[in-house]
Amino acid sequence: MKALFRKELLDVLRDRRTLFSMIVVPLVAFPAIIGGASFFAKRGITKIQSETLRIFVPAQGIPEEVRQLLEEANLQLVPLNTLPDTLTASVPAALIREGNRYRILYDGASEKGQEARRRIREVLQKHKEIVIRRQLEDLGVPPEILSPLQVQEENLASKERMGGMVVGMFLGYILVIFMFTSAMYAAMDLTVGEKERRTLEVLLSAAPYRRNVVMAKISVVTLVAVVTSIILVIGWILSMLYMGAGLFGEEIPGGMTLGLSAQQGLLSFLVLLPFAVFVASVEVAIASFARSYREAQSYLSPLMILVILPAMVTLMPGGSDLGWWKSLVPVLNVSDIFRQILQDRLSMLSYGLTLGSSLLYAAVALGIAVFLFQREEILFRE
Amino acid sequence: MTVPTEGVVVQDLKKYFLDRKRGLVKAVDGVSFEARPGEIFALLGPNGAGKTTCLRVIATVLKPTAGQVFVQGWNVTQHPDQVRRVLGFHPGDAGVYHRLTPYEMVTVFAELAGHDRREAQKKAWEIFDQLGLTEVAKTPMGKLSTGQRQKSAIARIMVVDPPVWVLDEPALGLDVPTTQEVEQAILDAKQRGRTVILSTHTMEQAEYLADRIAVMDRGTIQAMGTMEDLRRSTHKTRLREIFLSLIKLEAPAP
Ligand SMILES: Nc1ncnc2c1ncn2[C@@H]1O[C@H](COP(=O)(O)OP(=O)(O)OP(=O)(O)O)[C@@H](O)[C@H]1O
Ligand SMILES: [Mg+2]
Repeated sequence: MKALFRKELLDVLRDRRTLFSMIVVPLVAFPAIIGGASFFAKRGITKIQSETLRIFVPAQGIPEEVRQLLEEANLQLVPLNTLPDTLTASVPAALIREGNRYRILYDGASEKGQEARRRIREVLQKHKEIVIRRQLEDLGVPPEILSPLQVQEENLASKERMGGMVVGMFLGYILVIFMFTSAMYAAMDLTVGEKERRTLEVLLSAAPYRRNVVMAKISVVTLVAVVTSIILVIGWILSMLYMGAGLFGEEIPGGMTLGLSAQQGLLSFLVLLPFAVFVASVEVAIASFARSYREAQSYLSPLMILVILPAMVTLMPGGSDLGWWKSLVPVLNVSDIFRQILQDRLSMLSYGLTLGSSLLYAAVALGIAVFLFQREEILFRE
Repeated sequence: MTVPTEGVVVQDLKKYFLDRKRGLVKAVDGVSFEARPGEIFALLGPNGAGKTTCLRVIATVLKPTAGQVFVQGWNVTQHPDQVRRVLGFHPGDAGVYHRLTPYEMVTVFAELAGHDRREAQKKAWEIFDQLGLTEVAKTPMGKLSTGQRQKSAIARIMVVDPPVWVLDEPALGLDVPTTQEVEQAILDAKQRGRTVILSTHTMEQAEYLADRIAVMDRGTIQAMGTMEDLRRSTHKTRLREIFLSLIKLEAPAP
């Protein structure tokens, strides 16, 4: 068994596709996603917010005070005599007055139009307050009546939990998919790969027990999946340390910290392990049925969708409100438990159900894979 | 009956495949022979005769549909694990790991056969020396020539040196000097008392190496014996003529 394991490890660790999907992809995934997101978020928002926008305003009818406020809000007024039919890309909004009614016309399909509308609304709000304040003064009422109560918000959630909320949404989802992908390449390499190169016959005639041959293969594929997940987490930590503040800095004072305590890590690892065995067994079983790489890929790629769908549930708003049965659905249970652990609101019931069902699925999948691998109709199909 | 505890015994072996297009394929249909220690037994036959299938069953890669096969006294169906411990199989053309070096493959398979790693490593270098593989011993086999790969595959069996050698077309695609080296290794094994069963398409090789020859066609053995036996029964002298006459018996010209 040791020699078998060594052989499979030597072999698969030189497969470029496996190495790439096990090390390179998970390591750069989070830095790329977060770097990209914060870059575009920052650039897009600051750019539009600091930009001078042009709006149409009739030559007459708008009080001077409003005009001034508009200009202070970085809006450039383009005089116009008749009502425009359409707004242009360079002038995405217009302000018209009909008696006491102000109408804001804007291009809701453009970001500039939205931004111009926001600024105009703020200006009109200010103008309204000034008008009310003036009228109250005329009546001799103190202006404090305008703000009878004050509202102050404080976010008491720890940095860890804020971080966990964001991480939990994505990490479970991405983890599941990445583990599946790297394990897929390893599984194909060690099964159809051997068939295509005709080394499988040598292996089967040399290793006394066929059961050990599959077990060694599944162990190595499991290892690949686990390493993938560890590297993914390392990539996440690195990107949080160096780029997290850039993305969340404003909302989360002091920047993000990665709230992965030793306990959380251990709890995650305990469910990750049977899940990796499950994925490895399923993929080895399917790949050893195929006659060629091509065929294996055409079986395993659709399976990917079956995996993505349940994992995606954790990304949805109501995803955490499903009943206890969600802890029994393969893939869904694991990506959901990661979310629970990272968001620090783990329910012991769902953890128990998830761990139990994951172990069960792993055992069943392993059993089926071992059984199929011993059948020559599966291994030597013409 | 008593089964000899050495060599290979094949009794009325049948191997059928269920093929989607062709229906039931009788790849091997009632084959019996024995190969004894210190003997080289050659299977000859046209393409599709069933040689590879026969060797795969002996090597426990495939299970027999009917009949019995014993290797060193072990039944391949009941004790495949024991059979695998006493047999080395070479599956023809490829059968080498492209990303492993000859050195890695040879030592891993020696370990699989239960050999001590240190000793296997030492022996590997001696054998590489003998086969002229020393220079490429640490180069991935994907980068080696056909001959170097074939020799690595033979080296894999030589290091383990099991009592039974099963070789499917061991000289496939080899030049004359390389063929000579591989053939010498096979003759050496015979000298050491190993049982060797091989298949080949070269009449010359069969004549040069084999103590006994079986000519197969369409899953059955048409004739079997020493060269002398075959000459006597077919009244022909050259193996090529003998071979063709035996094949023609079964396959009328279209
Ligand atoms: N797994 C399989 N499924 C279906 N048919 C098979 C299978 N393996 C072999 N056959 C068929 O069995 C027959 C014998 O094949 P085999 O490979 O044993 O011939 P061979 O004598 O080794 O031929 P060659 O000289 O070409 O190597 C062929 O008709 C082949 O198509
Ligand atoms: Mg053949």
